[in-house]
Amino acid sequence: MYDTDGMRLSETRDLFVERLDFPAKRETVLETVGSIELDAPMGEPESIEQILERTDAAEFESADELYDSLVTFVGDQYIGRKFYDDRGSQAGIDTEEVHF
Amino acid sequence: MSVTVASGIPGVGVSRICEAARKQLDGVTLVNVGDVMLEIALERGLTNDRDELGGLPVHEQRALQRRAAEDLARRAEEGPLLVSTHLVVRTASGFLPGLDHTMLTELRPDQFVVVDADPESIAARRSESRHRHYGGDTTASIGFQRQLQAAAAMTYSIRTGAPVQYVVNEREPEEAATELAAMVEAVR
Repeated sequence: MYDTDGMRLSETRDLFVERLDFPAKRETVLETVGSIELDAPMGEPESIEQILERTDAAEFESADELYDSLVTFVGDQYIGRKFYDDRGSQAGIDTEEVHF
Repeated sequence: MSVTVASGIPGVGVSRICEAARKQLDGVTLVNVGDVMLEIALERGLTNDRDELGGLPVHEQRALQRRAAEDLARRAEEGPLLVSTHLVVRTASGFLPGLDHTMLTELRPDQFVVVDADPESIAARRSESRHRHYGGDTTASIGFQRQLQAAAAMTYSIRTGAPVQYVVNEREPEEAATELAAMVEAVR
């Protein structure tokens, strides 16, 4: 079901829910999904294990906590320039007035 | 393919209910809208903190929501989705709809499922959370958020024709999850 050679960050929620039970110990996370690589929009992909090497968390209480850890500790190749929009011609949609 | 949008106000336990329901469902993909928005926010250099999404300027939040909806619409073409989100979001400027017309058009949900609990239960769960920071809402404020959510659910139903279902999360989460899973199965 999963393309374990490369998946997007936001696709990991379903992966975690299917393969892990929370709270999940760090060792279990690394054994189960650590080798999976996450596509990076601006460079080489990193594996979940490589990303989690940057935190010393021993346990992840929930899929929320694990996902947020990935987002916090991903490499620079996942982080864009502020206010950059890859769909420049449609950037105006972002400035529409919001109505309730 | 079917799209079930499950929602609850923060602290009601909708993420946990959706995750437990997903474990009961083969071939259904769980997507958390906040995850997708956070991924896009990261790619745009806006924030890597889920709790900061609501503090972004409204136009930035709207842009993230719309990109997320486009992304979900693409995923829905590949198979049935269970989408975990909030029908009402708190921003620095006040409460706003979690789904706007563009998002509803992109997502084309088959049903909305509101996960709910008593304000006292929600307040207790918020105070027990180790990972998330919910601020200091009173039970009256939580009650107001529930009212906004109910109004939003019916508004979205009127716009899309998709019915609103209701799940109470007051007992064991697995019970509510089983109810939700049955609702997802019913529209596959």
